[in-house]
Amino acid sequence: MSDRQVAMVIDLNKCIGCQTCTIACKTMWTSKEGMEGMWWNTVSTAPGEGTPKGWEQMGGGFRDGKAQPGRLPKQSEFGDPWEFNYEETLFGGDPHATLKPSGGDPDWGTNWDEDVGGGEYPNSFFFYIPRICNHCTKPACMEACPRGAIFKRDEDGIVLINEDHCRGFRFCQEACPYKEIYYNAVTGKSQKCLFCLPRMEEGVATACSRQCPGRVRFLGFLDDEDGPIHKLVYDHKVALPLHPEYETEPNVFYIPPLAPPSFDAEGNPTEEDRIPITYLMSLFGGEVVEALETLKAEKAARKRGEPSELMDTLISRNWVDLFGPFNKSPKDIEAMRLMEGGQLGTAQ
Amino acid sequence: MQSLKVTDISGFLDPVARPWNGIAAERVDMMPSPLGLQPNDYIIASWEERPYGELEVLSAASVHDGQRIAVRLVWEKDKPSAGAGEGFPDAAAIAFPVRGDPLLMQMGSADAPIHALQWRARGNETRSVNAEGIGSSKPGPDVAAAGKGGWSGGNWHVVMTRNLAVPQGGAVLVSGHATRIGFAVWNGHNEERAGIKAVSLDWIDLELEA
Amino acid sequence: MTAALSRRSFLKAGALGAAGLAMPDFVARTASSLEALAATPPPEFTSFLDVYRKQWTWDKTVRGTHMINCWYQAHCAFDVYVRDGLVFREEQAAEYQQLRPELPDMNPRGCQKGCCFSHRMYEPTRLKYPIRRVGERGSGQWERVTWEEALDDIADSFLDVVTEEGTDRVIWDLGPDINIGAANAAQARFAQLTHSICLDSNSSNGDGHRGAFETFGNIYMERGIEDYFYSDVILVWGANPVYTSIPNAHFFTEARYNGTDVVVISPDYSASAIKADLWVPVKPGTDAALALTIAHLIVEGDHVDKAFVSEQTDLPLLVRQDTGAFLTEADLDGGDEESFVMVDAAGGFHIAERKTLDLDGVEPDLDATLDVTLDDGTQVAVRTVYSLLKERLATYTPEAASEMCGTAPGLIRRLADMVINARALSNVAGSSMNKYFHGNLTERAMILIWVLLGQMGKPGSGYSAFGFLANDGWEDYVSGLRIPERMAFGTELGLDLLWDLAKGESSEIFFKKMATTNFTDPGSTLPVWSSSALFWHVHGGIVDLAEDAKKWIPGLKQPVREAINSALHKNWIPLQPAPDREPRILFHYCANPIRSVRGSQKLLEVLWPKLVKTVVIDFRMTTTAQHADYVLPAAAWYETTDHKWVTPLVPYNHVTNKAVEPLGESQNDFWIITMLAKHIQKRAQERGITSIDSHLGKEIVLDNLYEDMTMDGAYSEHDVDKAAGAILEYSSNLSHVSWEEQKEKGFARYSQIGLSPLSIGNAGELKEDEPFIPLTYHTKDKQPYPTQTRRIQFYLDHPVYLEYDEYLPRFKAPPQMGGDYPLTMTGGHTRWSVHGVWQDSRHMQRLNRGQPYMVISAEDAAERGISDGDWMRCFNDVGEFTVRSKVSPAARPGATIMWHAWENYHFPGRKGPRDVSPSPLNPVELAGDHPHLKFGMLEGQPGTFDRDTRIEIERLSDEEAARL
Repeated sequence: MSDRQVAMVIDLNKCIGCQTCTIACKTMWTSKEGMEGMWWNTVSTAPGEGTPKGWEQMGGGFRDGKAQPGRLPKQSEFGDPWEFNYEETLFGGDPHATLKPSGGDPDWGTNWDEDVGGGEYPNSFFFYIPRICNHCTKPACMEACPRGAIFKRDEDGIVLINEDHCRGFRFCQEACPYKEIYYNAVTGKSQKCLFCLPRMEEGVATACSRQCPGRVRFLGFLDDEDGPIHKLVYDHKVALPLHPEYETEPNVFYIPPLAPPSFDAEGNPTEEDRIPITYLMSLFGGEVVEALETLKAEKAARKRGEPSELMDTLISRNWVDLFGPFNKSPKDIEAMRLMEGGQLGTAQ
Repeated sequence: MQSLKVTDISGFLDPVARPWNGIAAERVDMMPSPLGLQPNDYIIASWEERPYGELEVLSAASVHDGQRIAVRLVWEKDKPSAGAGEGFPDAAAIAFPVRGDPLLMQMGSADAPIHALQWRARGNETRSVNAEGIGSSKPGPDVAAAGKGGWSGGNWHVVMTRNLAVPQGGAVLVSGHATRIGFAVWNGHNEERAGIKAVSLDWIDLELEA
Repeated sequence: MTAALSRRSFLKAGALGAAGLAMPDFVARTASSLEALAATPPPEFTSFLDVYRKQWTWDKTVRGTHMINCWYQAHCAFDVYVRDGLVFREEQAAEYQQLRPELPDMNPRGCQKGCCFSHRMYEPTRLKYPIRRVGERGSGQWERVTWEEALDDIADSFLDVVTEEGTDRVIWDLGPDINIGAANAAQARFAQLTHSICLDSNSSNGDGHRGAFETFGNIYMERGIEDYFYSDVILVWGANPVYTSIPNAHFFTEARYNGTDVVVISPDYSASAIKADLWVPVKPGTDAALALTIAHLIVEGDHVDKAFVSEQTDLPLLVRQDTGAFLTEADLDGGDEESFVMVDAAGGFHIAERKTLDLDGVEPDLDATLDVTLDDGTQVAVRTVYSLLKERLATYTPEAASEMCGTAPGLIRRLADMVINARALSNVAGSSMNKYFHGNLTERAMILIWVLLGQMGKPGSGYSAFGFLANDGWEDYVSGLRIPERMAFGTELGLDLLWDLAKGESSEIFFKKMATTNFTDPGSTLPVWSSSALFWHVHGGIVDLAEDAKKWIPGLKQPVREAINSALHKNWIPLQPAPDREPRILFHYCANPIRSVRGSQKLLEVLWPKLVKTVVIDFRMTTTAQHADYVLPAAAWYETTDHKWVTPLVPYNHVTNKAVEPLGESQNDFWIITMLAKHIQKRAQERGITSIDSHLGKEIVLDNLYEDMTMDGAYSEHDVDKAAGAILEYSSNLSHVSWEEQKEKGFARYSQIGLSPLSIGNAGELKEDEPFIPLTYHTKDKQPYPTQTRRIQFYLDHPVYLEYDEYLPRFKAPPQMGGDYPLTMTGGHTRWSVHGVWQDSRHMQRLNRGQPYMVISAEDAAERGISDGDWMRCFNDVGEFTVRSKVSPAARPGATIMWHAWENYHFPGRKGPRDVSPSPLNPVELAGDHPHLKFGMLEGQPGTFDRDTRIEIERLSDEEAARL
């Protein structure tokens, strides 16, 4: 437990699976050598294998408070960072060469089962689920590190791997039930989402949040009663942690997905949910039933022209309201980030 | 065991160099590091059903020239794990008490630290580390640690060398004096790392020939 | 509460010393070749966190955007981050103002592609210096040449061709990414000064919105994106905004939370369908049946907005039953042949005004059926368009339609109820329908719904078709003349235009007509345009693929080749160069036809041998570049300064600033084309060539081309920035904010729709604090539409439309292009690229499948023993290609999806979906000699279609797959 805790709420009804968050994170943090295969932020189609492939079957976390063994995910399960034979195909003088990923025809990638989902046409169903490190209140990774190289900051609850101490043992990778930790084979260190600490400490929202064109992510301190996070998690109870049964107490919460009505055998619409509620319960626990009821009821209220604080919060007409106190633009603090003659600017 | 005094240690830097044939090797009994001593519940839970540290015996020999000491380890491994990419490397370590009476199994303590050389197949490199208990290892003093490993015929052959003299914080070795030495071996293929390893049952006396 | 987390002291200290930063791997690889990082000291840091903190530092930022036609989602202002002379990332500026408190703002506009252009521009696909082919075309053998060598050689070929064979032998193949900014102005000015031909590729791309054109005489109609918040039902129909309007999509998800119902109508359970309150599955290409059924239920339930249709449409106009033509004033009393007739309930005839829609108290009888005596004494039966329509609609019961479109009757009724009861009904425009052979009929049927309900021109209400919003100073810059001078400049058509003005025609009608001078008028001061689809079909031989079209298209009256020849013969459609004048030089600018043109395999076989030179200007190696003689390396979008058109959805001019020097020897487009003029002038002078006559009879001065091009040095090759500013200064709709200010901020809201023929059809007032609503000049101000009847027109009395029974909207079963095969190959814009620009980028492919795939339904896969990821042969009578499968329960059985934009070199044997898409032109789209069915800018030209393509697929054996 930290003194305070920052948290994120991700609205699955607004997420369009565009992966701008994934790319924002990539260009922000994981472009160096050894990080090619890292996606500290992913967006997967659910139901599906997710990233890494089959992560929900890899173990880790706790059960009844007891640490559970986990399996080490492989890079190929995260998705290999394919190289392509650009030179050969584009400039190499072979007019028949085909542009191909390295390593032969792939059978898995980070977003391999995009837009596939489940069900049977026309009762197909799927939705997108973005994931980052959950910066858990009880981080299984932290407990598993034999070197104490993982710590949770008191001031904000952000969980970090101290790369100065990390020896690349990867017990953390096994123990994290969400499989959100990557291994850098070049540096021999484990690395993961920083919750964009360098940005957050300047009051600028995480790259995945601020760059999200779907306006999916809310930020703030869990204990800030006026912030959107507190409202969504505690007041309206529509934001739920993913796999609460892993017992790590994640600090990323999800607004569960609605879907259009399903069809009967003749193809006429029914009142049945398209996404089986049992599936959603397997992800978000039993509370998802009530959360969906609340969302539907409030949406219906708006349709009748009645006010709804919940819907207003989720719409967030003024974009920066999503980010609670982390509402600065990088432009606002630019003077402090400029490198001048190889030195960090000191203007403040 | 004894570290024989030789005139020039440079002939011993290669683990399969011929001069090693003339040096008597000690047979060191090894055992899995105790599960109960692992630093956290996670590691205990994930290894309680899983065998590790199965290496039963290690062959160790040593020479020194008054300036530097070389320790050669030979152990059986059906195929090497270089630890490339995401694999775990085979590795070995030799440890010396710095002061006090550290428990080898517990990697010493604040009052009784341990100084070790660790060789890893990944990069074929040897580094100097200090430890004051399980999970506490950090870079050790500069003892000009070096090492080289080679795998052939179903065995790893590894030589680790260091200066006898050390800056503050290291384990001092003095020609003509005795100290103690401990051993550890990690099987990379079995994902052994950190405290999951084979260790010598306890310290072994090491006498540096005058 | 404090805004920020506690900051570490490191930022305050200069104690870190002269620490360089480890460059990302991708940059380092590129940079090493430039030796840009040679002097970079090794990283120095005090803790792991400081390393991360320093990763978020930079030397400077400038505002930038991407000069690409991502169309409905365009554009987004970015901060472009520069360190050590290289761009290393970008982040949305996100400074758009909220229009009103009740509306969401549009921040933080951007998508995953724009957010990695910094990496994309340094990938190995990037062109860094001019290259010249040394082997056979397409052999992949290149040598590096200097700009001097390349431009001299191209200039010599240009001079040879224009002096020996004519200026129209030189073709500018313009793709969708032309920016209507300085770069594109250089190209257009060059073309105008030399009378070379510019291809209008819009319809060829399948974006022609022919149905809207037939109905409104205009395709330009799009709303401000915030306006969706005022809709209570939004139909996403023929669009997939979750893929193709990423920055705008939040307005739909948020409108939903605000109580709006979002309906998605699509064959597959698409990425957009998952966000719907109702998903309506439909068989591909059969949407007209669905639309006409809704129209039928509107009429049957007496929900027609009679006042609206009486005033705004041709539904009250009378049609002669003997000829099928509109009854005219001339028929009745020898009056005006262009004036049409209504009758009131009392039997009184009224001429439909052509200058206004205002009925001035007349109440036409919508259902009238009567006999009239003509001027010559003959008696003919006449009926209103409405009565004809009603009769036609009566056959579209939900049950009957269900047989046609596969949608259950109960679902159709539910959809119709939502539509009919909507307070404000809107649609999300896409360009899927135009890619079906009968897409024009479908779009006309869809428009019928909005019009019958009077759901037009109000907040949250109205049909959107084609989005485009441009500055109106560009043509002034290109011609070197301001509008009044240009108006006076024309020859016959110019006089005709002046006459129109004198007659008091609306500015919309005037400026749209003026744009058509580009296609035919020798005196035009603008570049000469030609239909790209016709060019490829006639000069490129694609028409050969349509030999079997009669087998594929039920009711086709004549072979497609004959239809084209006949239309050309009658001068219904313009084609330049004329069919008997072979093209000699192709400049591909923002274009990649060997990838994008359906049936492009014919181009290499038929067109390429005719060419003396084919030159590609691009920043990356494309399929077309692989078949070029010269490839000229262009600056990427963060390496030049310019601005770009948008759409009314996001009515902000967007600017990109030069953040870094162009990579290698690449140069911005403005420089390249101006320098080409310079080299032509130089070689002309050296060869003693002075001037020649163009094919249209205009004097083309070759030995002074550079001076003319640069307006006597006012805009030299180095002046792209100045030229971009001048274009805005000349604009009535963007001169209110200074160029310097626009560059600083990266965007500026348009002050008006303006007078560009590429925008004026939007016909509404753009306000500062309201989302734009199109067509209000018609619906509110009663200005006439630019159609034959000056009304929204559902009835087309053109002989071809009568012959094909398309005089009114109807359903026609989709043809079987390529033969009678069981599967339809549909497609659409991919999420992962805009055109080909990102299609082979590492980041995008690592988040995709790394190879092309075809989405097939679980059912079709099982029937054929195909598993996910299997290699498949896809074939029909026209060709075949090889691709991997992606098996999905979201795909409709019988319909496959081939997301577009794969380059040919992505496929084994370099054969792709184009190889099975014969894409015959539709004879009705060749119609001409009609008041509004005629070519215009980006509209009124024949389209090409690939969505009706029929195929079969079979799994390749493991041995066959291993040989690929």
